[in-house]
Amino acid sequence: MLSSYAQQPSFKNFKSNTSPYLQFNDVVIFQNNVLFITNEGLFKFEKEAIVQVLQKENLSKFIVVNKQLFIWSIFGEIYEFKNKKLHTFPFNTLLSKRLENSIINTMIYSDSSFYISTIVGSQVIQVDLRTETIKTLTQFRQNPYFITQFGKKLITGTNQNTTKNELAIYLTETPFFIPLADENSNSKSNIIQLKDNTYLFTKQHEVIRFNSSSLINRIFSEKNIEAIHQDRENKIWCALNNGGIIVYADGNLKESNSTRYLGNQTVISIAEDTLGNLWFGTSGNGVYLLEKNEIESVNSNTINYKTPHIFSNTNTENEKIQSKFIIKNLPLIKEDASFAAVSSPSRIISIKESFPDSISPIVFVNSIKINGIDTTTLSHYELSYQFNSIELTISGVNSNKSDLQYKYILEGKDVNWTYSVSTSVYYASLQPGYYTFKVFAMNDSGIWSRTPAIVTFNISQPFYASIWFILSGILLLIVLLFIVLFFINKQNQQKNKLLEEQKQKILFSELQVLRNQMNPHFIFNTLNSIQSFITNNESKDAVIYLSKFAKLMRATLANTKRQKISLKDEIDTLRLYLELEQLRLNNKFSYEIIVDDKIDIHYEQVPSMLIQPYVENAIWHGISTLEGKGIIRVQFLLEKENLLKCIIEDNGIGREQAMKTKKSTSTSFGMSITKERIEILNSLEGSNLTIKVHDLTKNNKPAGTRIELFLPI
Amino acid sequence: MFKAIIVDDEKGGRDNLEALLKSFPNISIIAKAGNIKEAQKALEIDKPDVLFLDIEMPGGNGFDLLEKLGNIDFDVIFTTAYDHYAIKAIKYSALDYLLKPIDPTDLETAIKRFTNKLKDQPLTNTKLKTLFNNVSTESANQKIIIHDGEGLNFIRIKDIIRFHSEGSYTDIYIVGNQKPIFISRPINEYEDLLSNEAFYRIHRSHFINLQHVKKYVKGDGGYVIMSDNSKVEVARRKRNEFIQILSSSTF
Repeated sequence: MLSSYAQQPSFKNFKSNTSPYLQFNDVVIFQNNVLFITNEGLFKFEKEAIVQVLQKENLSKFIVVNKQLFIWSIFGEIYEFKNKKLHTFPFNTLLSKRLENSIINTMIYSDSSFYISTIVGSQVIQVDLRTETIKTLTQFRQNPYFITQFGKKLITGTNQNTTKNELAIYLTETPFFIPLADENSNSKSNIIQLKDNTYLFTKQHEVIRFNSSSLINRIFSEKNIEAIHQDRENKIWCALNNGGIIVYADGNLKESNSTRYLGNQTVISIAEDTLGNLWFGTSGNGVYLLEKNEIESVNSNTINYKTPHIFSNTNTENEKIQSKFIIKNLPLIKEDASFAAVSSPSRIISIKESFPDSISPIVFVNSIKINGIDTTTLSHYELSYQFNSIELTISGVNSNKSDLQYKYILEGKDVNWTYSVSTSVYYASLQPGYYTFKVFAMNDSGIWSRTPAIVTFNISQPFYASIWFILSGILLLIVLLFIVLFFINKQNQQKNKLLEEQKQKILFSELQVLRNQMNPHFIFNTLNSIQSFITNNESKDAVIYLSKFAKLMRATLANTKRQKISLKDEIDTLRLYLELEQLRLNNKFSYEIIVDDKIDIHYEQVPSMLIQPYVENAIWHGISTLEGKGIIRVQFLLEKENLLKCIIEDNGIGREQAMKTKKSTSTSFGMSITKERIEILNSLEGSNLTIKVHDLTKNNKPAGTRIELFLPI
Repeated sequence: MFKAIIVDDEKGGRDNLEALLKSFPNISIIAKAGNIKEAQKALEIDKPDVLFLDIEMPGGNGFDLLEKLGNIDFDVIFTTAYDHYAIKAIKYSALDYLLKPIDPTDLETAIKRFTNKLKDQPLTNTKLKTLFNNVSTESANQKIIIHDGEGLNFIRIKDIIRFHSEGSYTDIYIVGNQKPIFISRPINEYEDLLSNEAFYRIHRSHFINLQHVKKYVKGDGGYVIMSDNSKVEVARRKRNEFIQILSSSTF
């Protein structure tokens, strides 16, 4: 759970008007333009808006080479972007044959060659532009790779997907190894060089910082990491999957140094422009811009979001550090290249020499409290049934001073190991029985203690668990059960009858909703407006509005078949409806629909067509007789974790005035149906849909109406 | 210049599409046909690059025409007013279609897609073969075409165990496959595509085939065990609805 947030610097959010739910795979600043790669093609930032430059699927990332901009797709095609067009790279046909079964992880340019590394169907491919040849540098089965370049050094990685994953660093003559907690081999990885000449490697949850000879520290992020970036003030920004962004004040990756922003959004790309502004591309929520002066306010943050450690439970008690490995399958190393590889036990190296923290930590149980009272620490406890709340404090001894992480289990209660950094473990209200508590500790380098600390507990049965007591209890229960069953049966018959009636009611209310949506008044007046385009020879507009009308009819038919639809579908339908009403009323009003960033509109579901009658009411009773221009605003906010708040606001004549000037009863008919439907939904699903109506005033005069709908999700 | 043939039993339909296609100077209409027989004749005279084909027609529908022709060496864009079953089959087969009345922007997208892609007739033929299979078998035996880095996958809907998304990517677990199919698309697209099948979104990252649920284990939200013994978390908020759906088990 998010506990606290620092004072937020203000992020500006931009979305494409034509495709608001784009996925922004990459951002680049090129010739003073901000360009984006999205799932629908290339977009750019222009006049405070995100606009499409060209359409193309599967594009992945940018590379800038000698002031030229290249783009590669996830299947390995390379294009040059010039004069607003993509120019196909002459090698693409050959490349696509080579990369047939692959998904690209990274691509770099170095010394007249493109190097491509893949995570699925792993290979590193060199496209040498000088000799015009394509070469596969290394190839293993199922080994994911990364490739990157620091200065003149080319670095590749492989993950042999054997029993143990390690990061092998070949930055000096003596390589060294860092064990990885993560065993998923098909995940993408990132690596960057920091300004203090250390390196950051990320894969899924894991972030590892190292220099050319040793590991510096390692942390586990709460969410998967999609991208990392170090800005000009040395702050480190991590884009998280489903977790916004996390920023560390410097290379020192400590939780106490970090702050989180952008809630639970999925951020995939980061870029910094020449002015020092930062750009963040999200999946489905547009692009965020954090301006330079706002970034400075990030510095002064003192409140921190605590990131819980996530551990992979791949380590077992049996794992040991192997001191010797056998040479096999050495990856091809170019003369001028140095490799950092994630590899299997495949080379001879004495870990102890190059790996200072390879000594197992020692773990023990420090103190034990029973029912809140300190005890002398023993290795076995005999306890009476009422002494059943146990609190253990654990600690460990380590060869260096790095933080320890623990895994523990209470055999007799837990099925799985619990992974934690906390040194306190608490078990409340344990049932009588025999329990064994075991705990291991792990150091920064991922090495577990050889033996666990063990404490056992025997909690005895209380007197009422004795046999005679149980037997007489059972007898009494059976008698009671018969009585209860008799009554339940009787009640059920009544309930079933009620349920049948409610089902009928639901069917009827759905039919009414449909009739209300397909309201003849709306249909024929809209058709009339379209006809006026035809008679005035504005056939283009006629075609556009006719298509909208057809889309609305189709959506309405589809939506009535379902009790609940995604919020996105509801908003799309609402938008079509509003556009057609604008046409009917000759643009008498403008509208906006605002959705809280924290809401995942694809995932959240709402009862279909519940909001439209309120909007209709706002238009016809609030706006239609208003002098001057009307404004309708529909907002979706996340009120609580599981409560959506929908606000429908107009600047119309207000309820009182509307009652006086009411022309027909058709719309109030719609409102009463909706009210009835809300009652049925509440009684059937036990949910708690509520409505609040506010009369807005300005200078003591009515200035519109605000409806607030609370929708449990 | 691309040659096009329009097949539609209603004159209004043919004329309308012809008028809309006037704004695309690279498309020329070489013939218009009102039924299957006329269409066959037109195709004998000159081969088009693309065929705009209405599905519902008296005297044999659009699919019948394609089946009669056998090997297809042109692209097909289906047009239809309202036929849920046919549209579903077309979507599964990853073929293109337009809904009538035709939205000019939809038309533009379809034409861009057709003109941009390289002519790949074997692909169109395989897609059509899948389509014929889908219209002639019951729902569970229908197949969907899924495009991943390795090419096309033809997957029987009842063989899909579950979808698992990691943000921008989705893994699809299939019966008999050790490794999931890895796709660079979000999970929502599949949720929309399979909305009429026995699938349910139990979690932000999980979309599962209800027919592959082996066991539901209660908990905060609880989790399900699928037929491949994988353990999948159920979101707390989805728990009640999910149990309701499981217990109604009409799938």
